Amino acid sequence: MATVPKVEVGTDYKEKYGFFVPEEYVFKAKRGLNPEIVKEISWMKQEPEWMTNMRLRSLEIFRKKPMPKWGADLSVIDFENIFYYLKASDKQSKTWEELPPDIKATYDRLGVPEAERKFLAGVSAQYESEVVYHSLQEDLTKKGVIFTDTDSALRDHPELFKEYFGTVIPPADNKFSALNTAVWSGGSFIYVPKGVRVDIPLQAYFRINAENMGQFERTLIICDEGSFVHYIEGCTAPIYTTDSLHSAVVEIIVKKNARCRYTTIQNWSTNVFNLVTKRAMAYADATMEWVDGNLGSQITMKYPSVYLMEPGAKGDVLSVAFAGKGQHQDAGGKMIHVAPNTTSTITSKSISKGGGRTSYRGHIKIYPGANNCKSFVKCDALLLDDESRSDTYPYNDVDAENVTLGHEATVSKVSDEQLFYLMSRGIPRGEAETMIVNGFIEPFTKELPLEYAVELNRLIQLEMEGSVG
Amino acid sequence: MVSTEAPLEDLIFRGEPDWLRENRRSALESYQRLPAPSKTDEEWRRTDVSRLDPSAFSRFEKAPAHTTMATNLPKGVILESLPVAARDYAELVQPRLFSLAQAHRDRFTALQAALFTGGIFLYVPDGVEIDEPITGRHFSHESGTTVQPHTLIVAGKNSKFNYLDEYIAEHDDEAGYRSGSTEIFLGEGSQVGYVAVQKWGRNVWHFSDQRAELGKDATLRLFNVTLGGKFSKTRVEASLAGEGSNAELKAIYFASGEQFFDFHTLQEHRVGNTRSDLLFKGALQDVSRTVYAGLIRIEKHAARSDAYQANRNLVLSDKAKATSIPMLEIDNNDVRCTHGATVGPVDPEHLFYLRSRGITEATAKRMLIQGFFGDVLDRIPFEHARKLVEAELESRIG
Amino acid sequence: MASYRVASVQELPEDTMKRVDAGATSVCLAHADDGNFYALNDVCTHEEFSLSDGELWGMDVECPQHGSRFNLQTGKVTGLPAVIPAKTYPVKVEGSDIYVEVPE
Repeated sequence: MATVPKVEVGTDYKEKYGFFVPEEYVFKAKRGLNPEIVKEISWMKQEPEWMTNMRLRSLEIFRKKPMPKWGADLSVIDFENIFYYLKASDKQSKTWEELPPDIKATYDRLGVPEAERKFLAGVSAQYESEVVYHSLQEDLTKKGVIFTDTDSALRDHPELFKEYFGTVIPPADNKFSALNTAVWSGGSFIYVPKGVRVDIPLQAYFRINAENMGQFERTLIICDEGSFVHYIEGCTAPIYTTDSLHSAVVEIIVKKNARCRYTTIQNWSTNVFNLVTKRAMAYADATMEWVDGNLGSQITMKYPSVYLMEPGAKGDVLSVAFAGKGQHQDAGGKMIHVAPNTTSTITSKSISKGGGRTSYRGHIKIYPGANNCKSFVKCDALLLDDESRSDTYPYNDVDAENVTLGHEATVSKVSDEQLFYLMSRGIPRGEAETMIVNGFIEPFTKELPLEYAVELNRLIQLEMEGSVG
Repeated sequence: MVSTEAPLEDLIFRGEPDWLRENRRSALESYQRLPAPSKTDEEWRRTDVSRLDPSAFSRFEKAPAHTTMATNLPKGVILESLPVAARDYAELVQPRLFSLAQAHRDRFTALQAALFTGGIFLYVPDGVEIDEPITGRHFSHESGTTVQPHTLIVAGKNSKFNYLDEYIAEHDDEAGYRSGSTEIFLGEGSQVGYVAVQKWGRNVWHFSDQRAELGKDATLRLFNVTLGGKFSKTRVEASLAGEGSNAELKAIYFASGEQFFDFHTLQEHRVGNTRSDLLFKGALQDVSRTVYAGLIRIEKHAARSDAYQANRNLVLSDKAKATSIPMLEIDNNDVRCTHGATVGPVDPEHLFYLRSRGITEATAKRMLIQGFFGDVLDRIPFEHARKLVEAELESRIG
Repeated sequence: MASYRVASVQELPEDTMKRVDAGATSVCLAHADDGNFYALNDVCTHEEFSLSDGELWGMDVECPQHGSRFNLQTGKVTGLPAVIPAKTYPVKVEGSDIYVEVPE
């Protein structure tokens, strides 16, 4: 989707994103999850022993941990029917031309190379389990910026890697972070040196092509003091009748005075379970921003969080969720105020249609001693018909003095007055509704680079027409 | 005062009808069968009962309720102790008792259904209006005992009345196990004002369920005041079962010292054209802790429901902890539904303003706390209760 | 401070830990692979699970529930989700007896 959109109204997801190409793999692990598969993945990647051991231990933790008792119903996931590792190309390419023709055609069709030419400073493209294409503008390399896939980072930057990997999200954090740590592959590794500002976004594009695929990318971003980076990820998959699983872990460290913005446009097909753990640590006067758009998937459970570790740190989550027929978007955010004088906001906009369900789930925690903090949460939900459902589950814990915390939420339908106004001006009902929805999520779209904002509005249009997946 | 270590059968069950004795035994079995709440249950995650062993308080106070009314009751009204009513008015009591506050929900509701003592039954027939409020006063007398009163209220069609439950400790430093649960059935078109003021001793464990079911066009104005206990867990739940019904659920709490208060609320819109309005306001000082968790649930066919829910916390000390979890589950789009939560300190600008007028800091803070509670106190459904609550609050804030 | 005998050296081989009571305080007593004994408050500062049920990783103890890590020597958090350091207590070994000192 990282492109100036070519979507025409009425074109459906299947044509634009939902296509698949015949499977041709350099290596495809057997279905199922066991220590042998984990060892095989580690061996294929020629990893150091500590990583192999960490994977095996994480597998054990995954086995021991119960499924979450809250949120979406995950009992339908059959962990033994999933392919945990698929390698589609035997090498990583620096130019699109070097890619195997099928894969190149896929990204061409998704418009990624075109987007790179036009407005990106670096691109990473992950196809199934491995990153197949990588680029970074030369001047950024010269400034010491590292933007690579996470497997290469383990090889090429072992010390930096080991210092941070798993410290923000340990394997035992939750069942799916354990699973990810056991079978992770691919993802982005970014290091921005002190004082360096990466003014043009870096983009990662995640693509699942095979049926019953499990994609477990692992992303680690370190923004050194006074630096800035904007990282954008997009994701799509073909439509199959059986399910795929996407379970990523994203760890981010934002040091003093630095700022990191992480934008997601999640548009998985509606047979993908999307269970993602994302967490950032923000130090003195640092800013972490999660801009999180969830449109696709069958079930999403994702709550990007910020640990505000030192005074002056700031955290923002801006979240949009759209749930159509058969979809459950369980999304939100967490702000953990560890230090005094820290601030946070969460803005959530959710839309349910055709029997879809959106749930906002959030946590604001103010630790003892984190005095003079401010936190504000605003959730708005729009229900487009009487089959759909919306939930709000905000948890607020204040254990410090002089804290101002506010939470507000409303649930409503498209207002009759607005509809009447638009229709009285000759706009057909469907179009009028789409306009209202686009207006409803405007606080989100205006934070996106223009090209993405346009694309998002088109996606909403597709969803509104009910033609998606 | 009656307190004894005689067997339960002799103490509590004696003289009761068979159906009630049977229900008590079955609830006692539930109590023994149900697991202790665990930290992994969301409802008990922040509410620690691991140090509570109810059997440590095996002496029961029979706690006969004292009912007071200024005038004679209109004809047909029944105001009776609950065990007596269970015997004499079984056809009214049996189908309703513990049908809203169900015994098998958790160990503590089971204990209430098994071993409630004293308590009140109020029945107001169709069309009867009572001007003067009815008051039930439940007393505890000593430390180390269990006191479990229960109130059952049945409001007939188009009846109208106000009722106040007061839970009173003889000694403010009492320890022990206390409850004070209420079930209210509101018939079609009835209007009920209900106030509960909990001022048990400061060292007791307290559990209560206040649950109401509203028929067509019924109106409930419920007001809860929580002041006592070292641990107090209260559920306030209204089930809007008839079209046109309207529940106003309000509460104030004032936690100080090492008190821990937990509130669980439910606004259950089971049918359409229903309205609920909830406001829980609390002030915390010293090392107290409070947890508010409330849910608005709008069921699938409950179109044109209007629900509001707010929890406001005033935190007066750096060691106090407030948790607020206002939740929504909305299954119909034709609704108006809003909620909010705030946790904050005394507004420094207001404080500064009062100080600049020569008012001492202590007085200024007191005024601001009173101001904080002011708007909700105005919602206490009748004058008698309002005066009582204001006086009680005054003495505690002072 | 009050000193309590909490265990014997034989009870605690290297690279193991154990929950002990020092008066009213629950303590996670660890025999690290540097050969020394360390004592931390047993209750994880994140969500109050018992650290001694977790695992030892060199000089870190890892909480069994969510994987928070604390340094044995300093109590400092070395891995989220915990953010508050663990309390540490002085340990003395006299003969084969291990003593932990906790505030009264």
